[in-house]
Amino acid sequence: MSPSMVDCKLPTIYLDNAATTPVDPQVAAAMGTCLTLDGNFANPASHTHHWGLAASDAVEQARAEVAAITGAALEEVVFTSGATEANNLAILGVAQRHEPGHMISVLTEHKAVLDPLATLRKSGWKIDLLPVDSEGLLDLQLLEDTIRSDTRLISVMHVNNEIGVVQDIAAIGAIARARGVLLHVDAAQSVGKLALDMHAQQVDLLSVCAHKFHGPKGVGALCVRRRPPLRIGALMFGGGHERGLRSGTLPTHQLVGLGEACRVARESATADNKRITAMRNGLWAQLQDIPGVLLNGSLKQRVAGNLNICVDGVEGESLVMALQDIGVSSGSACTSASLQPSHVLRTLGRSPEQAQASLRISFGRFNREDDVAVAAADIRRAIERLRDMAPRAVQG
Amino acid sequence: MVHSPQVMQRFELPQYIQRDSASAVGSAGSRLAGALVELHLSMENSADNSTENASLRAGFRAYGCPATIASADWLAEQLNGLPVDAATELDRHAIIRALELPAARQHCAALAVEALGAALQNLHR
Repeated sequence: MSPSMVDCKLPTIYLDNAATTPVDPQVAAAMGTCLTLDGNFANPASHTHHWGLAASDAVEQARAEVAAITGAALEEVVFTSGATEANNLAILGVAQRHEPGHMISVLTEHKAVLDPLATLRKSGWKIDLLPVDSEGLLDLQLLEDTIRSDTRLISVMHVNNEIGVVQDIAAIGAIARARGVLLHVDAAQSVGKLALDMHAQQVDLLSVCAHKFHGPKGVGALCVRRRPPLRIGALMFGGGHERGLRSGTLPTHQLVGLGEACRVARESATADNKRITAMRNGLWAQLQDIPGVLLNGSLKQRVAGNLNICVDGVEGESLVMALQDIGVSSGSACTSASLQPSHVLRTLGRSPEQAQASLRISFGRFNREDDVAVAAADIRRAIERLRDMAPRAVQG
Repeated sequence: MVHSPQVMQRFELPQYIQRDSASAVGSAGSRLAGALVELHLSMENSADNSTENASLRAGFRAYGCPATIASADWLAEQLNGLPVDAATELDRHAIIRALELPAARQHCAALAVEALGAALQNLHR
């Protein structure tokens, strides 16, 4: 614990579920059976004894759960260390199998997509990053118009990690398939929350991340279309695991955690979404009358738990630090002489000043209805306190 | 976003927010840059508006990160009751030491001192 945390009252309500979620106790229990001598501790690749075979069975059960929640076939699930690796494997793996050509993505993507694309740009690939409208949504006509004869891949995230806006993957899939272009979807923020069927939505590559839906950190998957076969290059070598696409001993406990998180989510997503949406909407109803508070992104086309607001006249880091009861994310931090406002909020058309102070408040399965009123009061108090000390020029 | 206890204490409970008007105001920074500090100064025991034997009354208003707010609050505290001529001796190093500001936050102290310089200039006008 840092010195500054010692004397402060620590917030008790966790509202940063878009950053990561607490592991569901059912998931933790399942993982706990895969670590010690009396459990599934063995290497799943060891087929010479019953311990290895049992671990292998547990891993394949987890694979079946990932397949069930994504609509993938069993042999299409490639386990990875998380969504960052899955995104890199998808983008760089496709690039390995083609001469440098053209790829399309979106300005509001996660860095785990933007950075591998930037790497490809250095080796001769042409990359187009499309803008979004003021609601955060992609213009499908613009997407279609941007496709070229040498376009190899479109990469679009299902749910935006900052503003929670949901892109129309089925429509994008239809465009990509009609034009013979591969589609990668970073579904890190949507698996376990929104219905997905990669084949019905004509997705070729789909990234999954366990810790965004109450699974453990350090595990995820890339679902790679097999019919017709899609060949991508590997990034990791040394053993040929996962059909040569991801070498490395399979971490049984992590994969069992991912599988169990999928199972629990499939069971509870409908009820969770209803409750979480009500909490999110309840909070927005209590905040929207504060002058200078703006909602970022579409409220209609949005994942259940996410609320992202800009607050005029206060600075982002101070706003987060002034909150006493809730833990949330801010879009910016004063770590040097110059601020770097969120690239997502700037793309929506927010001014640099507006983008400096944003809060991402994200509810999850373990939030309670009582949290809404506490959060609303805490945010309101923090805004009023900071505005009270701001220069009159900032107050407007 | 880790701050020293000194910064957090001042950020959570600043004592020198200026609420009424003062004789001179100096500002530094900008909203676009993410931090704007105003130092407000008045003179006490001043004969004929002279700085001789006069002491300062100071307050601040600030928009910025916790280190910026704490720097302005610390500086205002030091200025209160200080002879006017001694005010120029306060520099950013004193703030950095007192608040244990890390390298990435030292510009916050510099901003508060810059606002003080502007306020003193206006005071002498």
